[in-house]
Amino acid sequence: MATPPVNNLSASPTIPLTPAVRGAYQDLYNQMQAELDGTMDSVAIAALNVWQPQVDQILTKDDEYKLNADTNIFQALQKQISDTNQGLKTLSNQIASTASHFALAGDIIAAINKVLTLIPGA
Amino acid sequence: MKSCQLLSARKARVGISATGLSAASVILCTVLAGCASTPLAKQATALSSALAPVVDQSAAAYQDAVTVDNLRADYEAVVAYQNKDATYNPRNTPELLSEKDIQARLAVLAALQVYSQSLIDITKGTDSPELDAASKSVGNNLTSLGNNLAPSIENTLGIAAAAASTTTTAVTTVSGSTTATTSSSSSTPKPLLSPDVRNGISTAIDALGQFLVNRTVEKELPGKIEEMEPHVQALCNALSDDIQTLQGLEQRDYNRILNLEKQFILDDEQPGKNVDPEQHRAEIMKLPEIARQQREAGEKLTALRAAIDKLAQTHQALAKEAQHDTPETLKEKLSELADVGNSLGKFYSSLPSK
Repeated sequence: MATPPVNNLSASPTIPLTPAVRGAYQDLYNQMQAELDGTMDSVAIAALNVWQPQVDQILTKDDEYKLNADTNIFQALQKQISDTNQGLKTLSNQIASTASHFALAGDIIAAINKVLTLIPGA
Repeated sequence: MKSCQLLSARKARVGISATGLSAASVILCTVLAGCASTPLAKQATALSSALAPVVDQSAAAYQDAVTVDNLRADYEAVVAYQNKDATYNPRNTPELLSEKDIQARLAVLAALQVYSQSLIDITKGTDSPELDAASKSVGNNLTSLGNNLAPSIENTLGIAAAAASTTTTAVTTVSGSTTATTSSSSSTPKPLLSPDVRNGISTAIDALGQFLVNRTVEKELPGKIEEMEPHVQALCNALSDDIQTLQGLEQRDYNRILNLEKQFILDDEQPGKNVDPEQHRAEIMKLPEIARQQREAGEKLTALRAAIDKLAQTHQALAKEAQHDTPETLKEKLSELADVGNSLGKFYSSLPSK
């Protein structure tokens, strides 16, 4: 069943991302990669293979916006953040409910919470 | 194999035989063949040995990035089919760098090296018609390709945007019982570099090309070095940023490939799959090879970027010295610049060829 995300970014993040927010996304990407590198659990791998590329896209679009403050890139990044953060909430719940599959469950959830704390509206 | 043949083989492999770089190579080969015992030959040999490896190995580094990006696209195709993603169209798969994009970068790298060597030749009085011709050839080539660099850099960055903006990803959750879809609409491509940066790159390429075409005489050198300083900085900054962006894309491409390969392997181990054991082992054995390639690719681009940054720093010191117009210290800085130029070639020639 396909469920389109709801774009309800009520508190828009500063774009380009502040060092703190960018650092939070980068840390989340790295935590996900660390889990992927250190596990043979197919449940964990399947879940992270879905959301890590979305975090990757936030970092990439932020790079693009820094090079040229373009309205389209701004909007694309804003939407990417909104969609990704919605998904991260789902992922956080999934990890919490199947924590035994994730060696770094606590670290990943903490990294997700950091992101969601810094961008509470998404 | 003789140096001419080597150069030809290299150009053929990287597909830049149609550019003015080839003309410069032919002239350099002529110099080497015709004046083997003269001081000029020594200079030409140094120039050639520095130029050829950096062009060749830089091309290899850029092509590595293209190859791994294509490989990631292949893996993403599998994911799209597994998710029954109807929006997936292989014809829309973007290309990271075209041959033209690579040529533009190589032309600038080669010109920076010829420029640094030219400064030495002028001060040592070893300038010659042959080297002058080689310099002009590279300069003219640069001018003809110059306008391609900024769009090419934008293209590299824009590809990431295009890929992201047109992809619809079907998302299977941990339980496997539900899916969520993330999607984003495509946007009209616009230049990613600011007008100032674009103009800076264009002006710098023109200035470097003009320097190489027109050359100069020793007494004019301090002033010319000062004039060239902002242009050298602009080019080095553009190339350095471009390489950093490519490196980030490349490393994330490798991560994605490794992550998906691992998932495919584990999926094949599920009951009922009946995968051929030999084929399964072969898939597993791909993993360390991919990881090795990732490490080597990262090291190549890190080293290339460091060499370009060093070139910028050295030229800055040289330009500062040129303001004082002190012949001895100026020559010392010129020597340092030449060393940096040569180190580019030496580093790359020490790397294993593909």
